[in-house]
Amino acid sequence: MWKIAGKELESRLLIGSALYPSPLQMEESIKTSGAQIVTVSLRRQNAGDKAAQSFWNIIKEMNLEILPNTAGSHSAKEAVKTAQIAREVFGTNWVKLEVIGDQYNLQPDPFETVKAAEILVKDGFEVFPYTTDDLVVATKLVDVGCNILMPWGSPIGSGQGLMNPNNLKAIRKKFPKIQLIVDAGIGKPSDAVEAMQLGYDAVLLNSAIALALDPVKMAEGFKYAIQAGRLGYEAGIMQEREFASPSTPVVGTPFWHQFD
Amino acid sequence: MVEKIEIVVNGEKKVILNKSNIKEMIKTLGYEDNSFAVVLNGTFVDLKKYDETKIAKGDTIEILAPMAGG
Repeated sequence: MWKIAGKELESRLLIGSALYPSPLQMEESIKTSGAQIVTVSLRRQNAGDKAAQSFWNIIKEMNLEILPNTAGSHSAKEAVKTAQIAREVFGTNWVKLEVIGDQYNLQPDPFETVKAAEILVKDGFEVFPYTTDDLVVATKLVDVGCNILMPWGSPIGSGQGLMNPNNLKAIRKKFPKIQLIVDAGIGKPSDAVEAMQLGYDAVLLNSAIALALDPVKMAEGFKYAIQAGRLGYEAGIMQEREFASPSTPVVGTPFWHQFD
Repeated sequence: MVEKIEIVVNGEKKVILNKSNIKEMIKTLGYEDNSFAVVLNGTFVDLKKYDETKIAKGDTIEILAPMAGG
């Protein structure tokens, strides 16, 4: 069990609800992953659009914690407005704060993210800020009251894994009590293992499962990867050594080896 | 004859009857009575206030729904 934003949870996987081949595969993948937090967005609805209603019914019935995002925002102002409306619609003060600063690599805008985080924290939100792996930006976010940080592994949807584990490590070291979640860029289960082994509290991912050939099976893979990585971290990983060291005891080696 | 007014809904110009409330506007625009959010001139309108909230000429309305997101 672990605790985030006042909730006790079993799963350390936060899962996205986008890009699945079908609503059924989305539902099955989310269930199989064991995730207890799901991210959603708010978008314009057209008259007669039944897909939106059906999507929401599926999500509601799974009885998960809802984490609305502010995706599509390019300024603090837009993100704050989206968060405030999402709070009313979804009945939660949780928000995944996402302010994009670059259209090419979808890199978060650190200045606008910090500005929005400050306003939202003061307004009573539990902010889950999507940020880069920059230690100074992380510090600024904590300074304005964030209890959670979500640095990227690599750009959204790229599947490149952890581009800069050293930066992620530095954030973990500086903020031992802040909940840290690697968000974005995870491509394969081993990336999630690596993130968890660094001592991160959780992983947020979407494309890695939704775009797999078999999303449901990949969801299961990530479920175990995150558990394995966490266990590895908790168990304490051995120190790397420069030279080989026999694992089988040398004492008691049978006599005939002595004649080789 | 009831006067008609022009408003902007989800970025598109629409014409509705003057003095419509949100509930009537939703019906005129062809939305079914299901879960969505209405934002009138940038302010979220609670479902309970759909009857009493009147739409005026030139109002900007966003009709939003929960969608997939990462």
